[in-house]
Amino acid sequence: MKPAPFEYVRADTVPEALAALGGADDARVLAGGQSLVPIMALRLATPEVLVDVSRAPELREHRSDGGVLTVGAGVTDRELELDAGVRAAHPLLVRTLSLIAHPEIRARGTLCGSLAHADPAAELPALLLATDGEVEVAGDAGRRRVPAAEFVTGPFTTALADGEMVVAAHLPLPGPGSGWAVDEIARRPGDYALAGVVCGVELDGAGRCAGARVALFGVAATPVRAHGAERVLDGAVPDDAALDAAAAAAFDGVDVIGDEVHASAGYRRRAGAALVRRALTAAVRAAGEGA
Amino acid sequence: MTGTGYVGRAVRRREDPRLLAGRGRYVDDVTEPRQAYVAFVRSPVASARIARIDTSAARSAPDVLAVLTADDLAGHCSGWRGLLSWPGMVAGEQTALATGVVRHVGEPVALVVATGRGPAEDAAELVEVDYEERPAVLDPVAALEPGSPLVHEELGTNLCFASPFGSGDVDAAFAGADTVVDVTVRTGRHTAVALETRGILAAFDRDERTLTVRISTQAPQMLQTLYARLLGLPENSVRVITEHVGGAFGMKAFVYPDEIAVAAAAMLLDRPLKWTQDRYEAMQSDTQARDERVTASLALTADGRILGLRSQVVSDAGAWSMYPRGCVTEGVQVATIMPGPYRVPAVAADLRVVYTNKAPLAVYRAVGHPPAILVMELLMDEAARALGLAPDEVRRRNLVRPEDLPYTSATGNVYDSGSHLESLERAVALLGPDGLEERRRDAAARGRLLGVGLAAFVELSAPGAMFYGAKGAPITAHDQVEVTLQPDGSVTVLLGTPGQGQGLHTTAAQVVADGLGVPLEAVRVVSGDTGVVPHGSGVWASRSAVVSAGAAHAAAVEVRGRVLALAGHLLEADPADLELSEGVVGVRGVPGTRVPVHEIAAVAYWGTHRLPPDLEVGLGAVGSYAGPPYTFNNGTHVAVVEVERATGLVRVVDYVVVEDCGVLINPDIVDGQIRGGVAQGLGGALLEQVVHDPNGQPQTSTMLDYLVPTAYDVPDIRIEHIQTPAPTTTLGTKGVGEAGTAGAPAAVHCAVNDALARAGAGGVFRQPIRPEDVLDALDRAPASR
Repeated sequence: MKPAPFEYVRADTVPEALAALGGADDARVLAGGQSLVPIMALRLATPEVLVDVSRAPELREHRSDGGVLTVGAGVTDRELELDAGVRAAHPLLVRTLSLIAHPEIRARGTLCGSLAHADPAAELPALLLATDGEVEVAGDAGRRRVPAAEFVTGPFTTALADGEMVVAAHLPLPGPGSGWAVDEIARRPGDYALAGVVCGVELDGAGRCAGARVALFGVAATPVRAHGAERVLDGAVPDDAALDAAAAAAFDGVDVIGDEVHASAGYRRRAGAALVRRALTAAVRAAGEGA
Repeated sequence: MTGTGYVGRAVRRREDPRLLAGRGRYVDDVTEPRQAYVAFVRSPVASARIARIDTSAARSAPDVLAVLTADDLAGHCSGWRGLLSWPGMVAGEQTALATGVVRHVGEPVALVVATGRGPAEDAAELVEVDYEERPAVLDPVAALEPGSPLVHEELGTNLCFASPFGSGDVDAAFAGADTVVDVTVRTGRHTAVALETRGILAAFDRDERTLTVRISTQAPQMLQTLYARLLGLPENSVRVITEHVGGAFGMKAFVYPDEIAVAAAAMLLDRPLKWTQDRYEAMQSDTQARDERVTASLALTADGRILGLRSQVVSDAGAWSMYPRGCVTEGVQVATIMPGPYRVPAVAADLRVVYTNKAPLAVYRAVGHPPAILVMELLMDEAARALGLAPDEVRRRNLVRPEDLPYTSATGNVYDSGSHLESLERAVALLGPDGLEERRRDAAARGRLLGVGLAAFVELSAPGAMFYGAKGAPITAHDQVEVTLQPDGSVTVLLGTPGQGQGLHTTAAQVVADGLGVPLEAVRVVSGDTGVVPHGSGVWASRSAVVSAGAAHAAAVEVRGRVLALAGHLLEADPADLELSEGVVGVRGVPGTRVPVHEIAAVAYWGTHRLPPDLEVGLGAVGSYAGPPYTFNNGTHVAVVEVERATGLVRVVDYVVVEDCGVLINPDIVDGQIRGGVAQGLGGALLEQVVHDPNGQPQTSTMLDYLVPTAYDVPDIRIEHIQTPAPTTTLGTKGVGEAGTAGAPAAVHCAVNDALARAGAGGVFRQPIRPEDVLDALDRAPASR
């Protein structure tokens, strides 16, 4: 299928991009296009203007600074995944990226594009949520930073206002003494997850959990924190019983979605709890090794 | 055989270099001068009366040449019914564009012609259609209830066809049984997902009044006949060209309404028109398959001998009986193939084929075999558990033995040869049963249950006229091949059957090189153009290695005879004393008499003054094949799966095939067919399903939602061959193209159920087996926690 007619604008700077976005009623930012272009081909999205920011030099950069990895909106998943510095500084990100589709898609897809697209089953919004990252947004009024928990507001819906665009993501690097894990259930490797989890555990000197972060994806309308699991773990010795209890509580208060094609809500809840259990085990082990 | 021995060798496929390098020529790769583009307006609802179509806005859109509806095509393209002479079968009349009523989502309603595909799609959005929606018929069982809405009101029923099959005293078998096991099985609705979606480029020459149709099809001559008939042209004025075809699997063996609408529009508008199908259109309008509901019981003695088999089969035909093969073949095969390679003295099958508001169900690789074999193998495993026998043992006690051959099944199928028992023994040995316990422990340590599944099967291949021709469908059952020795000694082979990626050009060249006695490199094979090649019936039902090879051999041997007759005259020898091998003729046992075949050929073309007038000088001959009604291959598959307890995910970790398709022309090509077939069957067992919502909206219109197996999902497949020559075919070959798909769904499924049984859980009885079906089964097991 051919997309409906649209105008294509290549922006070499953020101000150029903002001008193009502001000049049309329905403009969309194009970065890797791995989600946007297929839905345009199906005419489920019919933007008037496509603003290509993938080659703007200022958006093509990523850097680690002060314990935070900043990734520009033009940086592809594959660039991050293969970058020696990123691999050393943020192995959790690299593992997360490896779960996204296939290398061909990661070669074009961007981290910021995934955040802006806000697919409920996508890995990166959950990673940002679990690690308390921020999304840097530019608009006519200047720049602002939106905490991960406030950025995704619904399925395929974000806190971006009309005329705004994502320019970068800020990902705090996991600190020493913490252990992290990411895992997901997919019918075929590379598919969107039926249930996924990003989790981190910090251990104090006594081996108690000084803080747990558990974010679920693919199970609700947005990525969600598993507060039930986090509460169980806070202050507890993360032994088998505690991890069992945490996994059992992971879906407390989560409005789990299901569908006829891929998996019911019941399945996502049940298998998701087992997944959380497995990921927490890995995170605790990693925390122990790091301490 | 006169061979220099190409048959039987793993000659490298000559088709591959261009296909792998992207130099194939598919329909969309060809462009005609003045070509315009077609887009379709398709029904967005499953069942509705069309109250009004307003094309005015679309007609006046930029770059639009025409917008056509059923009314516009009415005088230019006849309607048809996909009816075969099965007793009592009914089918509605179909037209190229929907006339008054739409019966499934995706049915073509209007056709837009523009100077580009983009403008055609833009204008298609401007066609206004008022649909008066009606309740959709989606459940084929409910569709048979009195008062159900009707898919075709003119028929007065949703029942397309009903029939019993089988013979023997089944009631007595069950009355005398020590053990009866039963299963209720539901198999998922599939679609073919061809890499090359359907497409057509139609051009009409108004001076010659000839129609040339370039189309992605399996059966060019069949389309030539039917397009001529429906479009009101003589058959000699329709030329159908199919070069490379990117996958078909049975799905491209029909007159599709959208395709013939393009041909009719090209004639009407006097302009070449191209339509290339989109994937979402494929998911809505390609034929579908495998949607079967089966309840079956097996009666056995205490020592595990089968006494009888009962089954009830409900086949969900979708909205139309596709023309010309119809929609009942799958259901009939489910009912009649079910006894498989086992000695089942009494069978009573009851088939009902039912219309619903879905895309049409039709033939798809291994037509009906996957559900049939699945049901039988599930029954065998249930019997093994009930009787406390090992799965291989219960099969061993019932498989057709060498001394039973030829064996006629209770459903009337004749197995003239085979290795039914031996293939089981070889497969079990190849699996290596000694290592299983260790593999099981290793899997358990990783939270996984290991399961092993067996599937012993037969596959009907290379059917003749009894399949369709005898039932009134214009589908040829034999093929012709023309072999010509050129003056320079090179050989041209014109295949009636198109080579479409299965390696037929390679295997035909092997057969001709042997049959004629020339080097393989001297043979060039041409196919796929009805303006050039002799008659053939297309690529279907695992037939080319039997039917095309048989015809190619016949033609080659005829030409060889003519060459030897000429050579006999020129060498003053009795032709019976001559041999022709690797392109050289000589008197057997007399060195120094060797003459290159091109010297003989040159005389036949240019030196006929040297020959007596009664000698046949033409070095081209048409061979044809008229073999037995069909020939069955057989084999055994063994799948090993790991089932993850926490998530229910299933992974196939090992796979063994022992296949007997008679004489192998090219072992590598056969292995490729088996591997692809197993992958397809694995997809059916674990992944693939067309899902509709309660209104009949397909929920699986993209490949994010309709899951096909990828390289990640398919394990290495270990293959061994037994070669029991078919006693009735020219070369002893049997078909094999569908055999992998016939066995794999059952083997994978039985392996999952074996894994579940070892955890104390009952099995899953639906396909695809979704992770949640596995968890549900484990939950129900008392011993699983």
